[in-house]
Amino acid sequence: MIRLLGALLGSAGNSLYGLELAKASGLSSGTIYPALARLERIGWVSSAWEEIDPSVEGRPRRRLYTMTGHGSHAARAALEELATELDGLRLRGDWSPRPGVQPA
Amino acid sequence: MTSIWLIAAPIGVVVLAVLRDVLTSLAADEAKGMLKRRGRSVLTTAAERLPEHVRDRYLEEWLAEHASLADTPIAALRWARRVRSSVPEILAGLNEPAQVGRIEQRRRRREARRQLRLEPVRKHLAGKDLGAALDTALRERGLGRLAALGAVVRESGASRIEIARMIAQRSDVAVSFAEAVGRSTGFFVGSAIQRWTRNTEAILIYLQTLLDGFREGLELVTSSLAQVSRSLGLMWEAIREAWRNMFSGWPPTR
Repeated sequence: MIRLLGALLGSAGNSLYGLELAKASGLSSGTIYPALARLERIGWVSSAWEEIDPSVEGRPRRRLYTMTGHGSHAARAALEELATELDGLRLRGDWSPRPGVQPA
Repeated sequence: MTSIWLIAAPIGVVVLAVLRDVLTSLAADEAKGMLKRRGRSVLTTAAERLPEHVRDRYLEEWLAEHASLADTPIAALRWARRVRSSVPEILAGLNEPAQVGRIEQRRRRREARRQLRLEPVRKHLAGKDLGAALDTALRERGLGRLAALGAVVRESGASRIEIARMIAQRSDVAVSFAEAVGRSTGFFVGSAIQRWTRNTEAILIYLQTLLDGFREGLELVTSSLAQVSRSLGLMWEAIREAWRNMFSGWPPTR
């Protein structure tokens, strides 16, 4: 989810379709659509059909995803909060990148 | 007998080469088409499990993305399978119960199949609406019925079996289907032969050179044999002469 949010925030307001998002975030198709469905339900992401003429373009229209204004603020805030939390844990020495492995 | 083989062998080589090229390309084309169909079928199965209000939207979205992976049909199939496996999570994301009862499952599947069957021609055939492409070819490009069908078949980038299945669903174009496929195959074989013409020419030049070389070699061998024969004859004459001379005074007369 963090990677997907990063990809959406990094797109600088551009709309991306599922495959592009999968490539940008490094996630598989099995992860991307459920995550997008969740984000869309909570209003962080909006989607719309691409406005093209399929017979001219020679391909079907794609579903494009864009971060909403609210989603963008909320995602940044959530990511910052997460980063602060991780920094705090790291400073306290309680945090380890791998669960079950004691921090050095 | 040998001369028949000399003529038949190069022709056989050319025919076999053309056949191999045609069959290999056809097999590859159909294998790709089969993988694409399988991918679409997997996505349709995945969409069947979604509730009605989002089914069309997701299926169209997935089919569009599947079409953009057309160059790598195996990767596209793998991608489609991953999508199918993620359906319960999508349902959870949509706040829908991931596990529905059997009756509801059957109802959804039945409804989805009816809906998909009602669609006259799949919109996503190689990213084109086949009917629209045909109409464009007929009206705007001013092509005849058969030429238009041939153009649609060639330009769609789909396999012939796939096209056949799609066209067969349209009763208005079903009549010309066989002709179109035949024409398409004709073009295909024609282009394969054209591609092989240069190779054929090269083979013929090679064989001609080979025959010239063989003839030269034969002439050389013949002349050599003639020389050897002459030399042997001369040698024989010389031996006979020597023999005669050796015993010319024998037995000595007393």
